[in-house]
Amino acid sequence: MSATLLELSGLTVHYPAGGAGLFGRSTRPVVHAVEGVSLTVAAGQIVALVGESGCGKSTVARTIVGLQHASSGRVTFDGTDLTGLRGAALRPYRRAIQLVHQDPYDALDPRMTVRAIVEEGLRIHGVPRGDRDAIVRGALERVGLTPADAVLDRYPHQLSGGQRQRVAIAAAIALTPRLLVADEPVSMLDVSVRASVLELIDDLRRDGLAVLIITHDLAGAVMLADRIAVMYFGRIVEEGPVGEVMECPAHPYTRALLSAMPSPDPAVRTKPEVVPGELPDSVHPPLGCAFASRCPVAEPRCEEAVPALAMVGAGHHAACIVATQR
Amino acid sequence: MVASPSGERVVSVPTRRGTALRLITGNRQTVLGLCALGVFALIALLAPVIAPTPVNTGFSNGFSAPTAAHPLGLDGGGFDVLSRLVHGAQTSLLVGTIAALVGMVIGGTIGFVAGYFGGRTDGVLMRITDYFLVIPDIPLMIVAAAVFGQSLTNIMIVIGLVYWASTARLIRAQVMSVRQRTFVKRVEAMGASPLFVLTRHVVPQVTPLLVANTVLMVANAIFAETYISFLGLGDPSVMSWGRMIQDALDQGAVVAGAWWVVLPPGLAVTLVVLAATIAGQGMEDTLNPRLKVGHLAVRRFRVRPLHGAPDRP
Amino acid sequence: MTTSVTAPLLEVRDLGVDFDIGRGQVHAVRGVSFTLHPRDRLGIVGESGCGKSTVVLAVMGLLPPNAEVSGQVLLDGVDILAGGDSGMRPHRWRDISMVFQGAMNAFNPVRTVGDQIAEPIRMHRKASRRDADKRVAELLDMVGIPAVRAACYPHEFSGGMRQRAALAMALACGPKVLLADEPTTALDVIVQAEILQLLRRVSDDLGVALVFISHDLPAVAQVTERVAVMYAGRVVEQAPVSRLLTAPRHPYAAALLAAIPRPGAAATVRSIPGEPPRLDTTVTGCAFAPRCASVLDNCRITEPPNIFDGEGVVACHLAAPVGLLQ
Repeated sequence: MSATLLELSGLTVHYPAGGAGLFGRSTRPVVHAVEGVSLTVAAGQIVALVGESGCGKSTVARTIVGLQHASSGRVTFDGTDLTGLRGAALRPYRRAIQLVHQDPYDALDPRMTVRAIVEEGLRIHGVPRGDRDAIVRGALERVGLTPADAVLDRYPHQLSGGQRQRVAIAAAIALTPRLLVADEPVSMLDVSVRASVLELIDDLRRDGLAVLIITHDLAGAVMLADRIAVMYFGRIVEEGPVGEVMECPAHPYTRALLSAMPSPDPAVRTKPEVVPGELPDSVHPPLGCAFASRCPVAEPRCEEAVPALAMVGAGHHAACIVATQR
Repeated sequence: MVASPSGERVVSVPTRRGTALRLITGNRQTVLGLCALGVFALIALLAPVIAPTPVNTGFSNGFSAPTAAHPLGLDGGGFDVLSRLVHGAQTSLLVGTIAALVGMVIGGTIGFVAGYFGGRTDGVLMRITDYFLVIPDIPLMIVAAAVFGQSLTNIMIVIGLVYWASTARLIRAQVMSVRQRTFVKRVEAMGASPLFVLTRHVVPQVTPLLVANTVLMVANAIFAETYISFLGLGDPSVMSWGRMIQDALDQGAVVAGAWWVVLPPGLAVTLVVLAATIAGQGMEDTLNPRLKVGHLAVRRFRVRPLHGAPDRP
Repeated sequence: MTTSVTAPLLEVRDLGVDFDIGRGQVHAVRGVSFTLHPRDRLGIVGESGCGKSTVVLAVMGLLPPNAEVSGQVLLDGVDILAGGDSGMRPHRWRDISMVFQGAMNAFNPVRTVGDQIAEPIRMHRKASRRDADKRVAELLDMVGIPAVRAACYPHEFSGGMRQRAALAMALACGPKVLLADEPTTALDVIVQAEILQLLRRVSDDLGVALVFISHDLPAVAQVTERVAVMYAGRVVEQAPVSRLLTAPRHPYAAALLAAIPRPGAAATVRSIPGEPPRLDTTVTGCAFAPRCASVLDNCRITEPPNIFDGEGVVACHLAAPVGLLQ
């Protein structure tokens, strides 16, 4: 069993709605984007963080890579607490943790060649000039763009979406990171190329890379991941080994997600197991379970307090008082 | 073209021309405007050579209609109008360009800093900018001329100080928008310092717009210089188009029917300002096709090519 | 399934669209044909750039001025393309209407939703304000929005609700044909399932013929009975949805199915190698040949004809025994 590489403990992120006010101070209401998220990822493991848009999963990703400050809680990487670090102290971790973005069409500077893009990280981290060329070529070939010479001098607009995403991944792995955070890596790609990019990410873990993949596409997540964590309204509502969660989903939201996935079998009509309703207001979060307004099995006591994650199986937890009763 | 293990082919497509070249040649308006400006600049540079007579040599006591010797006639003081016009070009263009550069440097720097750092810095800088935006320009120039004296240098600085504010706003907006681009965030996440991001990513993206805006500012500056000189606040030791118009009115050229004294400088200013304006607007159009009103033109429609298509599922 | 006894409602015959882009022509749509009877539900599936949106824009007569359209679009037997824009206008919204891609973001932010839905009613039917409001309430009810919310502004609606409102707007004048272009893209999977349910219900209750355009084949399969798969501007296969999903006959359709990530099928999901062709070059032979696993020599030389087999159409040389082409 590999050692835990990334650990999130009670991560909470609140930020002011609508940005800063006059002179930078804010008197605006606060958005509760992430509340008390705890998660671990081990080397060589792929963990999927699944949820719909607005659930806070992208905020978690940005916090891990340092693009967003946590309001409270800890992000621990390889034993070191990253949350208090700034500037120079944070730099080595900016190399060890790499983010792959959702939008391959915007992730590459249109004025730079592929070579310059992949090399940039090496330049930032002071890798000797003489070593760079070999590393760049190696990275491009590792992501399947071979021979590297064919792409090195190309500009992003000359590449397809799938190729651009591979370049972005190459730029990330050129720094030999230990954790890759992939935020919706294939959602903007055509269906016919998604599988190959997902395969690439799967392949990368063989080098010992830990991967946290953030997605709303349950099917894609399940293809890759060892463990899955389901997020709703800023909290993790269910997590566990992927097979177990798919077979025996405990939380009603997970069940709703599974039931809503269109089945390729046209005879089966999907009927999402959910009561029509809307997400609560993230500025004024409800006192109790956030899913209660849409939950088909909600009881009055669900609205009294936020349910804590409780064990429902081996390594499998769900935050639902109704589910854990059984 | 080669294949990768996944079989994806890299398509060869001619690369876009460098941005600088595109900026200058990409639009017929720009080319026209820049050529016209070039002609005026040439005239200004060669003024001492092409002026038929020295500037301050009088030939008669008063107005004299155009003749072969004096193609634009003589003004009320007996001076050759064409010579004055050609020398005036030097002043107007020099002041216009330098003032625009002053404005560009101040406005650009403030725009970059405010846009990139945001927060309190942005707040403070933008309040200062707002202040300068609402100051009425002509009264300020009058006061500055009165207080600091009427020299060419002062005029250039004052014009720059008045006009930098709108550039600052424009650049700030553009910088903020570039900062949100994914490729900038990606590099920041990698550990790039703010200076690295600014110089390697933000500045190259925003500079073309700054250049386009500066050309437009040249138009404003030349017009402002004309104004100032016309009001008698210009440098009395140099000839300028504004001064020519002022002199013309002082000398009663309109009453005397001496159109050759009033028309040439006015026309010259108009043409130069027009040239700079269409050049600047043409450049802005090149940089941002969506600003164009030419969506009405048939050939503007771009079908996105399949490879690298931003057409998302 | 459709009865061949009733006359077709909408017939698209050999539709072609070319765009003049100054430095050449882009052949966006080539020889597309399909027929809709009342209450039919047809899906058009393809990836980005295949021409599916262009087809419906052509049917509505909404292409930009540099588009050259060939072929016929017969509505109740009358060619609506022949009369140019003035010939088309009386039919727009009254007989054929459309939900555009990204319609949920196309609302005017400073007018209430009710006002915007009422607009086509007042324009086409010259209805009084009171009658229009009544109709708006009916429509909102049909799409599952509480009628009181007609006075809300678009930003007060969630994405799913705005999509429903866009649907209500499209149905305002009681059209016989509804074209829905990517109506569920950018929506969360649960909301997507609800919208798909809604489309089915609307089509059943109102008897509207539906054309559903999407890149998401499983979603399309949930709503439609027949699916046309497009590639590089052509319909490569058109078949009843059950047959398409179980026994596709065109290699691209089969490859597309195989590329869809599915839980539990990780080992068999395969991307399609290569890229779609550029549409500004003339294609020799079959457009899919460079990427086809079953390619024959003839495929690169002769364009495959449309081969009819009673249930559907396939544009592939492999689909017919040599010498027996209809």
